This record gives sequence, C-alpha cells and structure tokens, in this order.
Amino acid sequence: MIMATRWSSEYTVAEHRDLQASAMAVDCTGTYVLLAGRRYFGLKNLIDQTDSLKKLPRNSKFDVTNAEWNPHTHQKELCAITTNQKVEVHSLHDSGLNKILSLSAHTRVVSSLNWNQFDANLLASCSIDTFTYIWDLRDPKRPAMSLSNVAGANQVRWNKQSRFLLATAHGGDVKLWDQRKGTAPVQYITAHLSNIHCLDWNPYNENQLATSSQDCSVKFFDTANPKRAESVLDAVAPVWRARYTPFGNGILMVVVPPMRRGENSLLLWNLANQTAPVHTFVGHNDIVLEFEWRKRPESMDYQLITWSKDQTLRIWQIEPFLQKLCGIENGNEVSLDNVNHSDGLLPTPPVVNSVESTVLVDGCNQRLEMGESASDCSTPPPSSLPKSLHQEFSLINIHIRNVTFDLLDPIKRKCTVTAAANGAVVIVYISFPPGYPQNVAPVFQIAPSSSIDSALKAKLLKVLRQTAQQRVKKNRSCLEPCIRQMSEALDEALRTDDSDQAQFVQIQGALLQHPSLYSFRDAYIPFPRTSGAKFCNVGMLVCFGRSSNVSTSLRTDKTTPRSLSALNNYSESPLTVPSYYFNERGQARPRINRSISKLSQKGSKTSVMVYDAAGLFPMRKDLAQKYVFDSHNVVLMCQKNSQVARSLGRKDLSQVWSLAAQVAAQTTCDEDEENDWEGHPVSLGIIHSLINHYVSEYDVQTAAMLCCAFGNKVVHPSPTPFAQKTVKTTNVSRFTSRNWWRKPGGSPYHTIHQVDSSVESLNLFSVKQNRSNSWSESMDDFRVDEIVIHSPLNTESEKPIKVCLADSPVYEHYKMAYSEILHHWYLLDARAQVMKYVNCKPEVHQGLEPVAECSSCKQKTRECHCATCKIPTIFCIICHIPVKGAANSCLVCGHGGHLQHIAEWFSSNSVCPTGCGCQCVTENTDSQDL
Amino acid sequence: MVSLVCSIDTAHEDIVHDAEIDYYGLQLATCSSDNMVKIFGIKNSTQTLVADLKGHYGPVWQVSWAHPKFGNIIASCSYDRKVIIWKENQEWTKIYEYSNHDASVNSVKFGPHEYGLILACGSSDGAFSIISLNQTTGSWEFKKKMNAHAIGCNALSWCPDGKGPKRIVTGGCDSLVRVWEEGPNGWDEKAKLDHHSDWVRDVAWAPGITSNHTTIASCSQDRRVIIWTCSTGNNPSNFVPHILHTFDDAIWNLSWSITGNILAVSGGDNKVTLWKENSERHWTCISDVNKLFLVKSHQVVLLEYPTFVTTVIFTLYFQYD
Repeated sequence: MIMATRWSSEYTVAEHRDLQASAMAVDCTGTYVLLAGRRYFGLKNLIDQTDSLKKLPRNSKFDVTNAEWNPHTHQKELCAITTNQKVEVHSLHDSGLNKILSLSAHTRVVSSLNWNQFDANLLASCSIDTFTYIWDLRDPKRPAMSLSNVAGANQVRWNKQSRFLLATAHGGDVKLWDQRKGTAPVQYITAHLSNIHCLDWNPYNENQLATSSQDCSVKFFDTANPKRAESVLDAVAPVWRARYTPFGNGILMVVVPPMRRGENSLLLWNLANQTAPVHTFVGHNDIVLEFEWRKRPESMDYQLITWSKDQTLRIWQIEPFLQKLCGIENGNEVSLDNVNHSDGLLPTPPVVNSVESTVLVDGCNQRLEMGESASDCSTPPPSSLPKSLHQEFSLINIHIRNVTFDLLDPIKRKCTVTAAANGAVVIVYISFPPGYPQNVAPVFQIAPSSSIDSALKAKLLKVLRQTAQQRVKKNRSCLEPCIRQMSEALDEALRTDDSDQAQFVQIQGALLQHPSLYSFRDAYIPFPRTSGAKFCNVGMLVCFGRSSNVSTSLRTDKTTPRSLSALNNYSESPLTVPSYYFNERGQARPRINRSISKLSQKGSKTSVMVYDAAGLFPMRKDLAQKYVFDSHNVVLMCQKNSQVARSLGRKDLSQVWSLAAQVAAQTTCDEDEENDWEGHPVSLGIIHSLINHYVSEYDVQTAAMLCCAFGNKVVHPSPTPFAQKTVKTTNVSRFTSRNWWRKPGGSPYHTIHQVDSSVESLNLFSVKQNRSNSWSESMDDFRVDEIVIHSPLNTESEKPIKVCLADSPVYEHYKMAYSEILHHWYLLDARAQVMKYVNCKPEVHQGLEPVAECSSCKQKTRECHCATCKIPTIFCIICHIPVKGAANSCLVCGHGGHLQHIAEWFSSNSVCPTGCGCQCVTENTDSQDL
Repeated sequence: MVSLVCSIDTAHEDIVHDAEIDYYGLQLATCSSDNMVKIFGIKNSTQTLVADLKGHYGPVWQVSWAHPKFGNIIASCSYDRKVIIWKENQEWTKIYEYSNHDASVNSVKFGPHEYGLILACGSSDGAFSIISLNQTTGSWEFKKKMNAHAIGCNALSWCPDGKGPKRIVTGGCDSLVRVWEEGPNGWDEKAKLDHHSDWVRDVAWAPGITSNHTTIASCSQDRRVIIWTCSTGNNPSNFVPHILHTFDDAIWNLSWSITGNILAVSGGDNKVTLWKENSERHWTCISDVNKLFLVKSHQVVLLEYPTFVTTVIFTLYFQYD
C-alpha cells in the first residue's frame, strides 16, 4: 500500500515572530541555524537544547533574501547573505556575527547565491541585472569572473560533483556554465514555461539537475541530453523549492498553495515512484520559505529544519523508516544500536504527544510493513556463526510467564516474542546482527499492532536495549534476560495503569475532540459546504449560504480549498468555517457599528431560505386540484378540464383539452357504426403526439392526465351490491374540505358514490376492501382485488370511449410519476384517481387486518353480519346496538363499538368502558410505537 | 417565477451545511457545524422550531428525509463518524445510531421507498454503507462496502427508480464517479466514470420521469459539472460525459428537480445557478444567461414574465444584510 503518510513527526516548534526573518540557513555541522531578517539576525544552537535564540541587531533598510553557510568545515564560521544589491559575508564568533566582507558589483537586487562545493573561497551570486558573478573571498574587491546573459538570473547553483560546473536559471530557462570558459554557457535548457524558483543538482550524479517552477512541476534533466526532461513531477501548486534529499533517492518539495490558501505542507517523494509523495510534513500555517537538512551528529537520523512565513522554526525528525521510504538501502539498525553503547545515549524516541500517538494509530500498517521489511533487510545472509545463536535458542527457557516465543529462526537470525499482561499484548521482533553477541546487541522492534501506547513502547525498548547492552558488553547472549526484564517492566507498567483505565477512556474521548488529532485526518475530508440549493417537494427550492459580508471577501480569483485541513491554517479555533472566511476578509474593512454587525451576522449566517420555484415547472397544483376524472364520459371530462384550464388562465391547456374532447367525441359518438377510429389520423394519433409533446416539455401533469382520459380505467369490484354508478363526475376539489370522509361512501380510491342509504352501514371490516381506513397510515397500501374492465351501462349520459390508448409501459410510467407529484402535494384524492388508471400489480397487504368472530358460530368474518347466522358481528360496547358503520376497538382487550361513542368515552376516560380493567389508551399508544 | 416563501433564521450557532424539506413540503431539517440538527415546521410560510436534535459530537454534514410512509424519519451524518436516524414519535428521538465508519461520514441519503426503509452513507474512510430496517424482524441491518473510493467517499445518490435492483452512484477523492448495483454477492461496481480531474464533491442521479435515459450529474473540486448519460436503459455501463460548465470555484452541491430537467448547482463562490435541459436535450443556464431575475436582500426582483411558462430565468445570490 503506497499511500502518503501524513502524520506529523516534528518535535520542536519555536516561534520567533519578532525576527520577521525572511531567510534561514543551517551551518554545515548542523550546529547553528541563522534566521535573517531586516532588523535582526537570529542565531540558535541546535545541539544545545537549552540554548535560546540569540538576537543580534542588524538594522538594515533591506531584507535578507538569501543566506547560506559555507559548506566547508574549515571555514564553517562563514555565512553569506544577500541583501539588496550586495552579498555580505559574516563570520561567526562567540558573541555573534561580524560582517567581514561586502561584495558589491551587482546593480540590481541579488536573487541567489551559492558557495562552491569544492573551493571554500568561491561563491557565486546572480542578480536580475543579468550578471552572474563568481567571487573569490581572497580578492573581494571585484568578482573573479562574471557570466553575462541577456536575461536576469533568478537562481545559481554549483554542481555538487564537478567543481567547475554551475547552473543558472533565467525565467524558465536553465544555462550551464563552465567556470573555465565563462564567455558563453556550455548548455542551454528550455525547461519551463514559467519562472524557475529553485535549481538543485543531484548530490550523487553530476549530470542530474532538478528544476522547480511556477508552472506546478518539477523537472529532472540529464544535462548530457537536455532536450527533454527525464521525468516530470506534477504538483498541485507552484513549486517553490524542490531539493534532493541527502539520503536515498528522494526529493523534498515545497509548494505554494494558490492565493496562500490550502495546505502548506512539505512533500517528500521517492523518485523511484513518482505517483504519490511518500510523506507529508504537516504543520506550518503559512508558506515554507526555506528548509535545510541536518544530520544529527550522533546518529543516522536526519532532521529537517524548516522556516515558514508563519514565523515558526520547526525541526522534524526523519526517522530511519522515512529514509527507507526514500529508497535508502541500509543496514542501519546495526549502527542504530551501536549508538546505544557508544555513548549510552538512546536514540530518544520522539517526544510523545497527542500528535505522535495518532501517528501510531494511523501509520500502523505502514510501520508494520516497514518493520518487517526492515528486519528482512538488516538480516544478513546466514553468517559463519549460526551455531551460537542455535545454541542460545535451544537453551532458552521458553516458559516465561505471559510470554510466548512465536518464532525462533536461527538461520534468518530472527525471533518474535509475544508478551501479554493485563489485556495488553506486546509483540517484539528481534533480529540478531552477525556480530552478536560479541559486543553487538540485537535489534529490537515493537510491532505497531501491540496494544500499548507509545510511551510504554519506548520504555520497554529502553529496558530491552539496556539489558542487551549490559550482556553483550561481556559477550554474553542476552535474549532470555531481555525478555524477562521486559515482561517484568510490562507487568509493572500495566499494574499502575489499572487505576488509570477510566482515565484512559476519557483521554480517548478527549483525543477525539482534540483538533490536532483531527487535523491530519482532515486532509481527506472535503471542505464543508457553506452554500447549497436543494429542490424539495415539487417546486420548492431550499437555499442556504454564507452571509453577504463574508461572501464579498470571497473573490472569484480565490478558489475554495479542497479539504477540511485548510481550516486549521486560518483560525485559532479549528473547524469553524466562518472564521476561515472572516480571516480572508482582512483588516481593511472599517469596523463600524460593531455590535449591530455582529448581531446581524449571527442571524444571517444561519438563515435558510425557502423559495417557491413552482413557476419553473409546467405542473400546477391548482390545476391538479380542479381537474376532474370521469371514465364514463370522456368527452365531458375533457370539456370540464378545458374549462378548468381556462378559468386558471392556461388557455393553451384549455385548447388542448378541447381538442381532446373532440377526439373523444369522435371515438364515442356512433356506437352503432363500427368505424375503425383506431387507424384514423385525428383520433388517437393526435393524443399520442400530444402526450409526447408534453413529455418532452417535462409537463408530466398534462401528459399523465391525457393518458388517464384516454386510458383504461382499472375498476375495482363494487363492495356492496347496492352500488349504483349514478354519479358521473367527481370533482376532486370537493374532497379538499377536511370532512370529506364523513360523506357517505367516501373512499379516497373510489369515485363511485353510493347513494343508497345502506352504505352508511358499511362497517369497519368491509371498509377494508374500500381501503379507506388505511389512507392515513400508508397511502400505498391500496389493493386491486380484481381487475375488471369496466363495461359501460346503457345510460345515455355515459359515453366511455371505445378506443383506448394502448397499455404502453411508458404511459404507465407517466401516470405513476404524476401520482407521485400529487402525493407530494398531498392531493391524495387526485392521486387515488390517477392510481385507478394505473395497471399495476396489487401489493401484498402487510398491515393489520381486523377480523371479527361471530358470537354464535365462531366463524371469522369481515362483513358486518355473519354470513351463515346473519347475526351482526359487533355490538357497540356503549350503546349495545350492532355496529354497521365505522367501528373502533381496543387492540388489547378487543372491546369496541361505534367510532363516535368510543371517541367520546376515551376523551374523558382511559380505561375500557366494560370495566375489564384494560388501560386501552396507554396500551394502544404503546403498541402504536411498535 | 421564483419567489421567496420564507426565510428561516435557524439560529444555528455555526455555518449551515445542509437543509432539506420533507416529502410534503411541511417540515425543514437543517444541520450545522454547531453539531445540531434542527427541525422546523414551515406550513403557511410561517416557521416554528419543532425540535433541536442533539446527539452528534462534530459538525453535521448532511440530513435526509425518509419517505413519509415510514413516519417522520430523518438521518444525519457527521464528522464524528456517525450516522444517526431520528424519528418523530410525539417527539423526536434517536432510533438508531450507526458508528461503523472510521472517518467522517460525508453523505447520507434515504433510498427509494419501494425498497423499504433504507439509507446509504459514504465516508472519508473510503467505504459506503447501506443501512436498512428489516421490516419483519424490526432490526437494523447494514452492509459496508469497503474501499469504494480510495482516500474517501464524498457523496452518493440513489437511483430514484424504485424498480429493479438497487443502484447508487458515489463520488470520491479518487476523482471518480462509480455506479454500484446490488447483486447477490453484495454491491458490485457497474461503471467507473472517469472524467474529473479533482475530488468529486457531489453526485446526483436524475429522476427519469420522462425519459428512458439514465442521467447522473457530478460536480468536482475541478470546478466542473458533468452530466453523464447512458442510453442503454437497464444496463448502466456506457456513460457519456457532457461537461455542463466550468465554474469559477469548486462546485459542491447538485440537486435535480422532480422532473429531472432542472439542475441546481452551487459551490464555493456562494452562488446558486439553475441549469435547464430543453426538449432538444441542450443545457442552458437559466440564471446566468440573461440575468433577468435577481434575488437580493430577501427581495425577489421579477421582471415581466416573457412568454411561456417553460422558460424561466433567475439568479440567486446570498446577500443578506
């Protein structure tokens, strides 16, 4: 898994705000760091941790643009800086810096300088005055050599392998010069289209040059064949610095996020794999101005020193695994251990803070792989001394309490031990260097999968190493004592931890809240939405956004950052989006009426606006409310709808409906004559094209209504034999009054209104077929018990069409879509009307079905009378009269009766009226919750 | 043709990240960086605060309403790696909490009601989860699709067609849009749509009321909105990208109208634009082209409505002072 790990391994941060330093340099021994600004030099001893920054007044009118220490140890006290048109050489002594030379020849600002890698007295400087000068410190009056060019130079770098070769950058071009032949460049490379910000020579290959540019790329050139770049590394933003790492085959890159918004990270790449950076150093809040590598004198570890515009100096620990990520082949574990006994100084594990601990959580896999491969690499081929290790392994007492030896491999010289205590598991990988045990200690690694925190890990490692050191000094084998010591240490540590268990859980919770933990994860979390618009319902548009005073600061030339981590760079309190935008605003805006603006700001930033965008859509709710359905007299239906459309100002639709009425009249007028209207061009063909037209206009309403008018109505069987289809048209709007269901036979899915008085006696159980009881619970529970194609009755007024639209699935789809829209509008009756035309499969009823039991024959029935005994099935518990209409009953005790009676009773009581003791009201609400 | 119905001062203490109105247009749910979800009644253009839902321990990114046949239910997802499902039984309560993601959950959406009570959520841990309520046992079940998107899944959207196998579309930090279909062995990738050059911020599957084309819109940090269409109806594999527009800033929110022909687009520039597909399948911005309607300081500036209802032009800027 190659993924950029991005935890922060820094362990020192120092803020030096007062310096306003613009340049930083670390001397060749890695002892001193110089921070140079307009008014002060800051000097700090990096080795002596107690040393605080020494502030030396400089008091110049000009900023320091570059600083570089002499790379030669015998002149390590020399430091060159560039300021305005001059190059100054300072010398370090006890009390501070002394200016010893001032090299002036340039006529414009000096843009870059570089010491020669071979001759301690040589120094090159370049300027936008087009000249590049080579200075010899022994003759500082004038440049020893001048290299002239037509374009101003912005970078100069000596080759690190060849002493006479140097490269200069001019805009997007690179020129190579030979010091011995200064009249003309020896090589000319057209590298980039934009300015080159940084040049760097490969420290190991004299022909390899890396250029980083404003055009967001780093290019690698072979100077022997510079026609095209050997490879190109693309970055997301202009590259400010890109230099080869002193270890492995890596490069460290500083990008400048556009408009200074975004991540100010340093990216470490392994050049062998240019798909993704191997590591990201996260932490700086502003552009990283300069970075330098420093090797810790006592170890193999490198440190990265960075100075950023945020005025912090950071020192990052480059642990061996990071070097490995850059492709370094090392058997350095040995030397790491050598360190231990050379001065007894353990390579101090990085200070464990919350940031570090998150590292372990996240880098877990990475490290595991690393750890394993590291031990693989460091294990030499079977050496000439396997016997002693064999012996040691065979002699070991593997019965140590809580310890298991998982692997003892004398060939590979490896061993894996698992120690458990108090629920914690520690896995230790031990590899034995060839010299072991002759004053060479084994290498210990604790697997990251171990369930202990890093502090304890460090402690255990220390115990292991110390024990090993003591033993191997006397050339004794050390495995068993080491493991025993560690086991004891672990026990002890966890025993004390016991009491802290609760606290630990708390800390975990706190960590979750801790911004710094989040921040590195945030790089993958998208930047929060601060504005948006959503279409809801049918024509509603919900909008939210930032308030105007924030939005004004947001210019179009600034793009929104990608990830949430950008927030951390801008606000003291992380994770607040407003602070991000407010910071942008700057201080330019005068703060008038502070309190008022604050108030309005609070309100406005959280406003959500609801717009009625119904006008954008051709569907109209008022039309939907007034449209009528009549399958028996299509002509009348079309005419009425035409009137409806006209009355609501839709003359276009009115005409469409008139046309539809004409077509319907044609298809229905002559019942006797068998005219084949189906093939007639003005009959259904026009309806088809009308529907298609309205669909292409996204007017589902009109299309679906036409589909209904000219479609087959699916007729449900009449629930009672008394039902007479005498009501011809049903105006849906009639139902919009809230009491429609009180009207006789009011079923939302039936337009057929029973006029017979017996309909009132429809009881609860027959209602089920009417589906009227389920309308409020689940609108979709309608069921078609039987599909009967309606055959027209021989009444004059009824003129159903003879020819229908074919049952096209597309038309069904339109009807469904329209019914969905009606549902959104809560026009349930209109929806039911439409659904009657939809030829869909009945849904399986899943709800409760009330069934009554006949009191005499015990048969179950859904009718209000038992089919066999003709006895009414339900008697009202209040008035003792058989229930024919709406009934209600308690689901628990089963007692019930007339809806009205029951409602009256329970308006003042909560116990069953029979006196059975059932708490009907509470029982039923409980069961509802289920 | 667009008028302000009401402006709701949500009184959130921090930026609002999402707002959605329920099925019937009666209740509004909002969520914010102040870790809260709020429910408002918006009947008759008046607003009443119905409930403050507290339960998240981080900014809440998105809310989604379930179909009303399941009751009043919303789901919210948050930076705290959780999805919470809330239901109104007399008062709003948490009925389920899903905390099976290892990073911020960025998107949550209820699926079509035909599949039952089901929702999908996408997280920065790269996975998406499908959480559903088993109607027979009444227990919540979930399926997690790991590594749907490398680095993270930023957005997802259900295929609104409730027929056939379940389908979702997801967008992520790998700059890809992926279409998934539920098969017998879990969720399979049906299509990988590769045309964006940066993180995909939102995806939206268009309701196909009137056409048999499958249409998906996606927007990205690369400032582009892409409309993907697939004409092969049932088998969504050959999607053709069409770049709707390249905007001035990253685009992070898309929403289709119920008819599937108007797309609301919003992004980092704090601007909402509406895009409409005409009958010839051409896309036009019905806000920027003519700039006839400008909503400013809570006032809707409406010009004389030109001809027919089908062309409407307006722009929304957030200028509340």
